[in-house]
Amino acid sequence: MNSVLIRPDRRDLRLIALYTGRVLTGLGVVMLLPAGLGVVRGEYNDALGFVIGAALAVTVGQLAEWRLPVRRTLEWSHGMAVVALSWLAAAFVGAVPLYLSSHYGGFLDAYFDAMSGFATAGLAVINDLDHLADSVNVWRHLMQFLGGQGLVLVALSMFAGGTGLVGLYSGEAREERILPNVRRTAQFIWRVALLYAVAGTSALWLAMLWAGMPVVDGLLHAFMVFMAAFDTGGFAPTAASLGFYRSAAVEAVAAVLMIAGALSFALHYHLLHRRPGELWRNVQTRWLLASFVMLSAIAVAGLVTAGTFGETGGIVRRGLFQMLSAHTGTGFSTVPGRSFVADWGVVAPAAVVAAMALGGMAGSTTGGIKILRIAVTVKAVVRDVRRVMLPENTVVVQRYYSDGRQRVLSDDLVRTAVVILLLYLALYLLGALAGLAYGYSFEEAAFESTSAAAAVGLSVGIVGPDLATPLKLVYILQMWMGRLEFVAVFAFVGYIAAILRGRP
Amino acid sequence: MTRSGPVTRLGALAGAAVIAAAIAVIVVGLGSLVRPGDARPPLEAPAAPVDDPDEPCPDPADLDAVEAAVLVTSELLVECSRVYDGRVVSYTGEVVRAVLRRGEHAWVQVNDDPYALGPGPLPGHRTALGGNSGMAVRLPGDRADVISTVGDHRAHGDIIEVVGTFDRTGDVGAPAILAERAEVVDAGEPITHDIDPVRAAVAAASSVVALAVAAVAHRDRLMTGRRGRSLRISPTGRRGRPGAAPSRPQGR
Repeated sequence: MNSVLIRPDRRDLRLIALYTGRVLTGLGVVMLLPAGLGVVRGEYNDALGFVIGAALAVTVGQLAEWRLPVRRTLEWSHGMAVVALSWLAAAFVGAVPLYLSSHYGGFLDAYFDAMSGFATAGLAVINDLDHLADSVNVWRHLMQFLGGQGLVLVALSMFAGGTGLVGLYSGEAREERILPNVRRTAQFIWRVALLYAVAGTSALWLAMLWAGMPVVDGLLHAFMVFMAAFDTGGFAPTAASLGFYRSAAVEAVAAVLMIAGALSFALHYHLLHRRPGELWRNVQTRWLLASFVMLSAIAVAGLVTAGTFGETGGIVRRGLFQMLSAHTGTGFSTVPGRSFVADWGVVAPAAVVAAMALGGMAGSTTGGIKILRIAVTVKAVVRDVRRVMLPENTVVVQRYYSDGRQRVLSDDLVRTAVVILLLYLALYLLGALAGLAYGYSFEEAAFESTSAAAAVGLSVGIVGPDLATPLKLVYILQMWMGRLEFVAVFAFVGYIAAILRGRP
Repeated sequence: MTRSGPVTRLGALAGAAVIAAAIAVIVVGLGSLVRPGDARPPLEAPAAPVDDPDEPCPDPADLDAVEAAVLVTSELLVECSRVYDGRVVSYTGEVVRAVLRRGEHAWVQVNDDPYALGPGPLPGHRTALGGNSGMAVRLPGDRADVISTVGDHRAHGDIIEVVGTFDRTGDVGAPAILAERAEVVDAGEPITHDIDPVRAAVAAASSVVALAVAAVAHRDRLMTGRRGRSLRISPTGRRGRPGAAPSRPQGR
């Protein structure tokens, strides 16, 4: 193995560091937005915290710009390593204002929440969320918005080109090519997000006003809930999550945004160009719908058996909403998290875990295995079974419809899908084993592990301010690897391995 | 000229050590800006009726013997919802965030965690004491009028004691206390947030450093913008700086 590893050139590392620095510079500039909100809301110490965070980010980024100039084209492997390193670095600077808010027991706790934000996981170890400053609360949700869209991609589509941009795009778990080049695709993704931001925030604001929220607080909460819903993040402005509002209207609007977030951006392109037929023809839509119906049926059966809700209204509003929250990878909760283990029986939580594990569409803001990989794997099994049953010289071609055209199921595609699927299952198992080691039951450990690795955010109570440090590290690793779908992480680790063990 | 050639292990390890040291210095430095303050004298929190961690839920027969409202905590109601379902309970806590009026009644979130009934909200004393815990309470409209302060970053909210029926599916499937009586036992009060002068100084200094580094990094572009032409001749007479960061994106 060692003989094939070539140690990278200094210019490779400088290039990776340079582009990572540019991501941090962009992030630092964005941090000035919550700083301004802090000033407006009279949260001066928190505003100063954002200024310190922004200054740190910009200083590091501009130091890289000054001291690491390099004439080299960003290639695919560089892009992958930039993504992996940038997410680690972004979580560090994103944690600075969180830590300075005093709502975290230590910097690692703040780092946990920052990574959870960028990874759109939604698990939180924050203390006293209900008395948190608005500016810091908005920052938590803004990190989910940036992470869901692809913070590296938007920052660097201004600076890079060539195959490196493809690496950046793929590194943040995007594969579909909506427009002819990656830069235009990235810009389209942001246009869709901003369009939904205006419409979604407005709708949520109206719903919250109707629910009895004050005007200004309602607007802030609406903006935060929008970012968490559309980017399937799961942070909420209050500790009671979406259940705080006690409003079917708020939940309905949030549900629409969650579904929108779980659809691939390629589908949004078709919908915006008045091609609604693409929605039903797409293999992911059919499989996602089938998966949701099947798992929800199982959950409903489990809830009825356990006697959790005494009426149909409760099953529909609470049970199905939680299934939607789990399957879209959002993580909003309208019931106390402990209810999953204390009052939901065994079958329904298992269905929730399965939904979390599967996730939404590939090319969306959700995490998890992604429904396309499930569809590809199952279709490959069907194809291989047919090959066995049919005469030996029969050619079996399996097709599926995606992104506007029929595609052939190739062996390469199947292999990639199965490998990623297995890696996710291994990641879920790793976290569950870690939870078991700390004395949690298998149901609790598996629930929390799947929630972290699939970037969902539902919790049965393991993740909280008193979470043990080793488990914190495990879940941080799960959120990082799960959000980036492994390849960028492996590229980054590959660089490290090449430095340590490669030949010059 | 940018140095080329493979990275040396020693160089990589040295670089990693420098980065680790910088991270440690930053974290320690930030820690010095996060200082606990003075804690408000804690309210006397209601004693949990069940102390045994192995049996968190009380025996229903014991509760049947209680004629008055049963004293509960939010943790008990969530963990033992079926035991307390339909019983008259007494619950005390802080009203947080907002009073959501809905016609003849109002919904409030009432927390009974240490920030509510203990030393007070975290912004007041800056000591981490865990997460929030609470329960939804539905108040009759006229009883909601007694609440004047809700808890958030700017205030410790009113502490109210409510007596009502706990319904584990009281809000279309979600647990809630359907209160019949509510009274404020401790009025809320504002939280003062004095500007930390040390933090302000650090923010100012770090901003100056960031702007200075940015200015140095982009001095070529700044000079071009100011004088309308490119000044690419260094004091030594050489044109530009070999290996300087390009002003246009690479790879195009």
